[in-house]
Amino acid sequence: MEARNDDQTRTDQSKRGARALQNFSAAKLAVSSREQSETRPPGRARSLSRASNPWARGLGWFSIGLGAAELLAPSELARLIGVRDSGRSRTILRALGAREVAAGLGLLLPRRPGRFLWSRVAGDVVDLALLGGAMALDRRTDSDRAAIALATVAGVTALDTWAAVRRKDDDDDSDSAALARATGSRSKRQDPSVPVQAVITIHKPATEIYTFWRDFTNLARFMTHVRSVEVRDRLRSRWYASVTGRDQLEWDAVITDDRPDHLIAWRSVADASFDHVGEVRFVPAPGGRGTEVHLKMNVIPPAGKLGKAVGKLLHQLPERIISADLARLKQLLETGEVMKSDASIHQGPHPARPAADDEHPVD
Amino acid sequence: MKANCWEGKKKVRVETVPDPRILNDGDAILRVTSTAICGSDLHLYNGLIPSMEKGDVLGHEFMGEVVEIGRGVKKLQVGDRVVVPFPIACGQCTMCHEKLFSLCENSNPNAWMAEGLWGHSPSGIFGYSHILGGFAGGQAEFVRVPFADVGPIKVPQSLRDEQVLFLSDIFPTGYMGAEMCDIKPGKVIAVWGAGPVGQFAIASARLLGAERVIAIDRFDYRLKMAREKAGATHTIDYEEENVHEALRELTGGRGPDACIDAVGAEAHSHGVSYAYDRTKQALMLETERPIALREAIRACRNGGIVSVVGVYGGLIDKFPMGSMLNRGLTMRGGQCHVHRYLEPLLGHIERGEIDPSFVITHRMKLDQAPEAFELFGKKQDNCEKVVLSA
Repeated sequence: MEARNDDQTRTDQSKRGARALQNFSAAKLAVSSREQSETRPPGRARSLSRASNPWARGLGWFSIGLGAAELLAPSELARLIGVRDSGRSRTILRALGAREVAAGLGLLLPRRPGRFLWSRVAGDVVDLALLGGAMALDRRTDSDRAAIALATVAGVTALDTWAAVRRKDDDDDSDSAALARATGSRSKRQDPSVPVQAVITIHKPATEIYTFWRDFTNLARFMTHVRSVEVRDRLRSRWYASVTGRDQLEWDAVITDDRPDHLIAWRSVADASFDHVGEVRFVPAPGGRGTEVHLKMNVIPPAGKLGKAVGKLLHQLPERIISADLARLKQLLETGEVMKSDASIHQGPHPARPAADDEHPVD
Repeated sequence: MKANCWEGKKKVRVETVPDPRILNDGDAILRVTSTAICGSDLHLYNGLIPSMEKGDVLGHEFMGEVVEIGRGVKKLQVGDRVVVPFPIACGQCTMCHEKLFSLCENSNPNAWMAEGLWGHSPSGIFGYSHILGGFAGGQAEFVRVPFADVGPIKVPQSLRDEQVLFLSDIFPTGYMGAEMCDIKPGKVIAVWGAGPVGQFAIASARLLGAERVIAIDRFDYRLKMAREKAGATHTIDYEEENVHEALRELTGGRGPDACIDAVGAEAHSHGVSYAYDRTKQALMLETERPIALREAIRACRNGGIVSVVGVYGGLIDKFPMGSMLNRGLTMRGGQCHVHRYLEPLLGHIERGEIDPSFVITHRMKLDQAPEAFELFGKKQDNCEKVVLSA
């Protein structure tokens, strides 16, 4: 009698849990769709959810199938997984079934399956705990079958986690965020500029690095996208760059602060196609390890059709680009050259094998 | 030229590819006279290491004759006979100044990939994936060697290729494994894995003065080589004996003073733990099977050292941290800083204190690389080490 009461309480708790999960997810969904309409260009958002749909959809149908089995045939399922068939186990299985169906429906809804993928991962952890508990605590559990079930759930957990992580990458990756900012309305009261920064330690004195950098014509030697720089006078310079190799960006820049061996700051002048401010600071590294070079830029994405290339630049991972630029600066100053490998001299993937005469590696 | 290329999991092929050219002023081009297949090449072969591309030229253990040098090369000349360390090092960065050559900060053009996986990037390595630089390897007729003034060591004509080839990797790697054990007279060292690196770890532990060296493996021929050639004082066949108990017995219950893991990510065992790790690996819940490492940690004496030279690439599961912490163990490891061992180890070879060619069981032609990989991978025909010649 007591046991039944206990079971009843658990059922209620489980049901409440499942409902709470549903409500929570529905609330999240409402919030996220609002976020989406505000900040995302609609075309991009749609293409994102289409791109990840097959996995989410597969797992969604799997959830509904499993949930239905748990709801409708808990006794059979309990025997299959080696757990003792009792009122209590049936109740737990039905509750889990409700959760599965909810998660499955969430995954099949058109927007934001990411949240539901994470809810599946959470559910998997609960399943693993329950199965593990049944194996450890209940001597009547068929341990062979339960072990198989445990391994299966572990496998599904891996798949769910993978799908959720993958999904998250699609949802939140910084370049899509940057693009959203890049193409978003400028009338919003938020700062539309995109901050980009990178840092590296170079085993050379600050004077040497400052002097090298201060002659802007040197920058084309290690900055991927900069083709050349013309120095006009003590403060002014003209920059030529290309993002894809086919496009051409040009702008004028003016030095806004210049403290020898410490700092150089600059900004592009009005109407530049690459509208930005930047500064590089040179800080002695502790322990005689040379100089820490801190590069910071704020790029203001151009509106409308202007500067498609800059949009592309921001769409690539800009921090990775300038980090790699600093790594090349380090190679240049420490070893005298930019390091090349059989693969790195090509734009895009290339096997690690020497280039043929008719291949045209980029230098 | 002909080169042995990675074509996919369990598939390598000798192909005709373009000859290498000087890309940096510090480069040299070698005509490869001898090259070897490393146990870590099997991790590539078995598809364990990410960022391989179809057509990558393999090989990081090689030697040969300099046929061309870049404008900036000062110490080498055309015609020099050299052995090349497998990590590529610039000789100028902070890590190189600290003699941590396999952590060179300038030799990996794909450092950002490694930073993503490991947090920071190590040096580039010849023929070892794009995470480690995308450099063509030396299982080929010719190879480009960057920073030619920093890595390659000239070897005297009086020594045969076979005696000096392993300076490129496995001899220094085994040596560093032993060196990390702080060996003093009276110490007992246990070595997991009697593959080529294990053999050199055993031989080096003896060179450094260890009193007892215990080799652990499952192949008789490898244990026999460890006893008869490398100098192991005891051997344990883990398929016959319980390793932990056997080690207690051999050390008066204390456990070895230091344990060397010369196995790495693809350990075997006959027990439940193998099935567990193999399953988790297949499900991508972990990338390695750290069975030897776990065993080494548990077996090690209180306050002892666990020295890891077997190669790992990603994540492991069930790491016995409690055992490490509560028993005050020290763990050390790393890709070998080959450059710093070249001269002293060449000295040992020249003085006749060791002849590294004892590990060679198979001598084949570069053309036979695919067969050689299969033979070595499946440990057929008592295969311990394959050397390929041009």
